[in-house]
Amino acid sequence: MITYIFRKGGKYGVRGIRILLAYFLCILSSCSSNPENVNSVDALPEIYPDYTDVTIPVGLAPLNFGMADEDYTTIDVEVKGSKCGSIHANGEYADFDIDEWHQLLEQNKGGTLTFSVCAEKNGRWTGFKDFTISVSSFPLGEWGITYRRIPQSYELFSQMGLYQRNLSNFEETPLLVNTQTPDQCLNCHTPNGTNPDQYVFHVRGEHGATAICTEGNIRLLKAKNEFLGGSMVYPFWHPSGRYCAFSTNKTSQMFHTKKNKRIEVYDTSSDVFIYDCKTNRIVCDSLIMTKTWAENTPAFSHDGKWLYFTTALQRDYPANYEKVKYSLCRVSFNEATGKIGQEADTLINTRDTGKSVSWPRPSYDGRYLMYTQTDYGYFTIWHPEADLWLLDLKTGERRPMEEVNSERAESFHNWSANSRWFLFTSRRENGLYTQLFFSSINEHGQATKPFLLPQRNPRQYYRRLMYSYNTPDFASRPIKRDTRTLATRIINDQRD
Amino acid sequence: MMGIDGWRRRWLLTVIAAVGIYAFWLYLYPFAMLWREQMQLFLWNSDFLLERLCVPGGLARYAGELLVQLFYDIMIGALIMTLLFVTIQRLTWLLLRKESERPYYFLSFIPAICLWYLIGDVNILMTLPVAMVMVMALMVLLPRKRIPCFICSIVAIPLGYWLIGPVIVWTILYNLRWLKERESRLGSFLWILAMTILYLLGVLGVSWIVPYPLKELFVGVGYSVYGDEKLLYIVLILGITVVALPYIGQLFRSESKFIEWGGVVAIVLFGLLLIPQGYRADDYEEIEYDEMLRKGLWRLIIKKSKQKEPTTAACLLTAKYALWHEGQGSQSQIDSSLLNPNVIMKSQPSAFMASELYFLMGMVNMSQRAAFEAMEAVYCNKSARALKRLAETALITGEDEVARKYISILDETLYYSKWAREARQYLGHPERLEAHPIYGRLRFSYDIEEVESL
Repeated sequence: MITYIFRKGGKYGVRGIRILLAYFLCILSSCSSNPENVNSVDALPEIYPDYTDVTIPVGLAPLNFGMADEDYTTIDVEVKGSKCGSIHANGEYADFDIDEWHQLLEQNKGGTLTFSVCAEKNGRWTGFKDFTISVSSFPLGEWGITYRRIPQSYELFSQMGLYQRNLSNFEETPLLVNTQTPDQCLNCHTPNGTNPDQYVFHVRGEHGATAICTEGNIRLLKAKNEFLGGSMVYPFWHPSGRYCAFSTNKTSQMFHTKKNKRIEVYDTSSDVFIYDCKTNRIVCDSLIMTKTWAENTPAFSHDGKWLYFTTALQRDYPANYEKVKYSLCRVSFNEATGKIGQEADTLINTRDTGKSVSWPRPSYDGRYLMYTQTDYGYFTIWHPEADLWLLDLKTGERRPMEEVNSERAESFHNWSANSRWFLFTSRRENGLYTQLFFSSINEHGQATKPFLLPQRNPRQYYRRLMYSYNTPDFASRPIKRDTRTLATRIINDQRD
Repeated sequence: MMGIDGWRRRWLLTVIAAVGIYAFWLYLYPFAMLWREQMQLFLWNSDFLLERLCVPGGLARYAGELLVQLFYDIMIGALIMTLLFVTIQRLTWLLLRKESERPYYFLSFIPAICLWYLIGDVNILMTLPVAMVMVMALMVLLPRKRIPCFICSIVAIPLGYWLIGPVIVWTILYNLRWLKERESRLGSFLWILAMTILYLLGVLGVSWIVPYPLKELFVGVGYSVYGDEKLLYIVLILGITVVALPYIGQLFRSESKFIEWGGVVAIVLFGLLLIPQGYRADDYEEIEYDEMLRKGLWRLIIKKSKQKEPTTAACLLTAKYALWHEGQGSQSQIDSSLLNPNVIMKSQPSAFMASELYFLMGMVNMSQRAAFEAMEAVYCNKSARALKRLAETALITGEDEVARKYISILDETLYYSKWAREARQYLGHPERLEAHPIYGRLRFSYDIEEVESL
């Protein structure tokens, strides 16, 4: 009867009533039915998100999913552990009980989970081939993640913010959002390793600042450093926590009318320098602050003895933006003096590869360095060809991470503290909105099939989400921050 | 001279005012309503409702946005505006009658006229009028006895602040009337003091749990685009006016028909002098051109531009495009410098206009960019109109997955869902899109586009 009424809807008024009714019905009713007269097919279910054959850590939030084909109205899922235990979900999408799910993962650590899926479409049930998910024997070792959520736009933004997310459930909490600091851009939240007590982030706009938190004390520096003649931009912490390497960039952007391209971001100049948190001084060196080369995206090695950075010969901008290609270099760093060595090594030379390297991220065990490779430039988010590559720091071999790459941009990445897991951002789903993916890496450097950041109702969440995930990293513990006081300090221009 | 003492005569005055209000919005300022409608995205889902209810003033904001989505149809929009103003006027009258020994009907129009003037500023959102209706209804419903009135007020203040925002302070102002009773003055003063402290502490406490600056929590989240503190004083003055109106009648020594009719004339003059101040033509130039452009009213655009030379680049380009469209000008008259987005996009309306003009001229990427900028210029929300344009451009550029995302969101709107249902047929079917008279042509020109803009 209800369906009949709904189908008769057409005019706006009726449409409004229809939506209103559906709205309340959705709240009041929990439509579900159980499989009967199941027609089995010899095919894997096409589910969203695609969690088939992924590897996950114990303690991860439930991998809720639905059928990719939205004509399926009900899904019935039985999950059995290879060692023991089983759980069941039935509804519009598979919504697993969090505690039962955690228990099942714990019981099957190092084993697999087998998912038996039946789905109902037009009143008929179809049974699909089982698929499995591996439960890694390696722990994630992290509480959650931090990231920025930013609207997909060109120059303007309305709401954006820095958030943290508990990976064992679906809880997301804001760290600082720009409703607290109206019209300000918040960016580049970077913790030291995965330590939530030490981090840096920037505020851009009328009340611009660089916030540096060490041992729970937040220091707000002026956004524009008079000595540098510019801003502190892309940061990376020294493992000791005393130093933080930054790039300083004069960034511009241009807009394409060309097919399949939107935005081009480039630097008319950039340098790398080191900030000493203890003395509140900037350590500069002509080796990483050259006039003819653009040094960028610094990163310290796991032991703090090396400073990695990328560098490209400066060109005439914007005409030659496609000729800007970054090589990967490193220079020694002396923690005691806070100074870098005399010579830089080139690890990946663009003359050999013809490509551009950005966002070097050494693993915390010192074995690998993950980076993004593009045809040119460094602003990888706007490069569909951007892929993750892995450099073996022991052998010097490098390879594209085909296990995790897609035809669209893989743009930014970070390691877990135990270097067994990594996260990265990708536009693989729709080419525009960046999402967060996770993967693990084994002792041979092989990565597992990545999985999308779990959500309670993933289809609804990601479809409604008008934001991209940006500069994500792991967090070993939740960040406890008095955001009200911090926001007040930012808005009142209280600078240290 | 007829007295205005009968309910029929009072209603007659209200109906005359209502006709004026309806005509004002329908014939003089329909573009102001359309502007408000396009500056929001109202979704019929529980997440949207909960998102609003998680913030102080959320219920008023939700109700305001619910009404604004209906402005898409200007006849319904004008009716809603009329009903809002009439409701405020009638509630003021009920308060007058409740409190005054000598209620003059003409006084009940004052708050509505002030509000009419105020919302001439499109940056003041419809949350404010809706919140005013809610708080005035509460004031009317408060018990007539002192202690029950205080108890109800003290319960209503924290709850009301959360649901409708700072306008709830009118309840405190309303209770000031008890101070005139000499024998219970001290008790009343303590009750009012307690309410004030409760309100201040409440707002202070809320500032620790919601991500908004304290100033905005006092001014009202969602009351205006910029959270300007001037609005706080305006709300207070309006509140004082509403509360003080019953006592103004008592200033007149006797009930006189001359006062009643003189009052009506004075109110009409007051409205005629005040309201136009809120609707200055310069402020609405781009908004009006945008409406004409959106509807493709080319002849009207030409007529208007001949009456008065457009003052902004976006309006000028619109006028030139209209001339070209009507065969009264050549394409070469459209100065290439005008096509520069940095020249056109100087304001929120101009970003919408730029998106429209680029789309009409076959510059799909530029139209998309302008639509994004227009959408991100919206205060704490998105724009249904811009989202529709983004869906269109994504379809044309072959980004079906992104288009599907936008279409799914528009599916949950009232007025754009019909378009969303139609647009679904193009997903995964480029041949259908190519057969579309507009999208097909734009897809063709996009495919051969090789020029790059720097």
